[in-house]
Amino acid sequence: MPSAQRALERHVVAHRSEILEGERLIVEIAGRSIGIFNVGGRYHALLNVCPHKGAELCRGQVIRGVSSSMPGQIALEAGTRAYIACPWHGWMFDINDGKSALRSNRVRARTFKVACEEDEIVIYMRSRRP
Amino acid sequence: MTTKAAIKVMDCDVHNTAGERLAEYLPKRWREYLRFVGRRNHTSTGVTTQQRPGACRLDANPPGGGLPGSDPQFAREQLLDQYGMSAAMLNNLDALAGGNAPVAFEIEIARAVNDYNLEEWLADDSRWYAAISVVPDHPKAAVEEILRCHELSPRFRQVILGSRSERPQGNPKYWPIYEVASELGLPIAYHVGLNKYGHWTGVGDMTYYYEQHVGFPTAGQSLMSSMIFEGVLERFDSLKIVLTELGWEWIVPFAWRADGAWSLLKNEVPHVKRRPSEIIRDSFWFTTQPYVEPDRPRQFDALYEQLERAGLAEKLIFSTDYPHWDMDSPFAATPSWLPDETKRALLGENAAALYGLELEV
Repeated sequence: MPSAQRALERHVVAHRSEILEGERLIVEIAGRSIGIFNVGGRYHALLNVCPHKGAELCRGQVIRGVSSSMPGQIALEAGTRAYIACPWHGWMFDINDGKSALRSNRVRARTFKVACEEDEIVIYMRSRRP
Repeated sequence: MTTKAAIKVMDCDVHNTAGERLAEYLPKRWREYLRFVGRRNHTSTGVTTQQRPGACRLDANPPGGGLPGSDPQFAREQLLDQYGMSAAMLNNLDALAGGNAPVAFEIEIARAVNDYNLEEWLADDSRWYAAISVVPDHPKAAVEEILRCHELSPRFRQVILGSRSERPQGNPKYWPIYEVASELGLPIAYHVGLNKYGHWTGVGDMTYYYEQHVGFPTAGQSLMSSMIFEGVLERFDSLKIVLTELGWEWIVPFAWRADGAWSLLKNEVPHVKRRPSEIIRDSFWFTTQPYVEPDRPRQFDALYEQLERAGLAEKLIFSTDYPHWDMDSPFAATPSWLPDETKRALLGENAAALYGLELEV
């Protein structure tokens, strides 16, 4: 059925104490492996499949963005900009929107809506096509 | 979306390793040598990048510790079970021979690798097959080791040699190895790199890891060429050669070039009785990894069609190169739009035909 009619399902995946800042949890929801990350207090959820060659993307390294105002000055980017780097070929995707760090429109990691609601970490995803 | 259940997969290039435990399989004299002196391997191509220690993917470290590829149970879960594989060929690379170590030591190391593979991997799961490690530049010992392993298990299914050796691989000094392999019906897999003799390029070694990483076809071309023009495949016409991790996208244009001079130059090589393209078609197989990634993914089709028209499509056999970082996973890396029949051939049937196996799901 068309996606507009596929229900948005709410899945409670963890208590907030299970994914503290800097931590991650990989869970299976409705047959899909999903990684939930806490970066700087914000939650992000990604499908645990790299769009390049299918590696478990969420087992890769979380890399924070850096900025530099002048030579010798390096700072972690303010806010929670971060990347997930695939453990196989190292392809990097913005942990928030899944966009490739280098390859613009050609590949994108799949993200899911995630929120903390009354101490529970919740993922919203559409049911799969029957 | 995947049709895992329907398509049988054989992985033709897996790198397990004994790590430091290889010492347990060595006789005392060499166990002590290893402890006090070491392996004596120290050339440029031993270097891999920090970002991928041992050139391995980051998520292949066994939970119980040890190097990626050192735990048969974990490898079984992460590779065989994960992808529903029917079989996998262990191309253990531990017996890298440096050419600068005592001959007896190198020979014992190759034997230790084979014993380790037999006792800890072949015994662990019937889906594993193993290549026989030998030291090619000591052909007499190599022949003995091939015979020994062949007696020990039918799952020693090929002989592994490296793209580096003292002389080009077609040289008659290596013929005793080809002779015994072809008599026993064992393919010879030439794996990229492996060993430290000679040079990777015709004029020395590469400077950068990146350079080396894209240099696989270089090694493949010279070795294929040598095998053809030295007449190895005429003398041993049932010998099968598997070019492993040496690329395949270059084969057909190379065959054209080689055939182009046939009528002009064949008199120089009367021992070569067939056109190079025929020899390639009859005797060579190619593993897929790393798949070349064209600018536009659909350009892959042109390469595959080129192989098909040359009668070489059934020579393409799937490999992952697990646990290296540049591995290909069977269903995610194989172009998804290929017809099921093509996937079936590439992912399992071609390998089953080569190795004489019945693949079970």
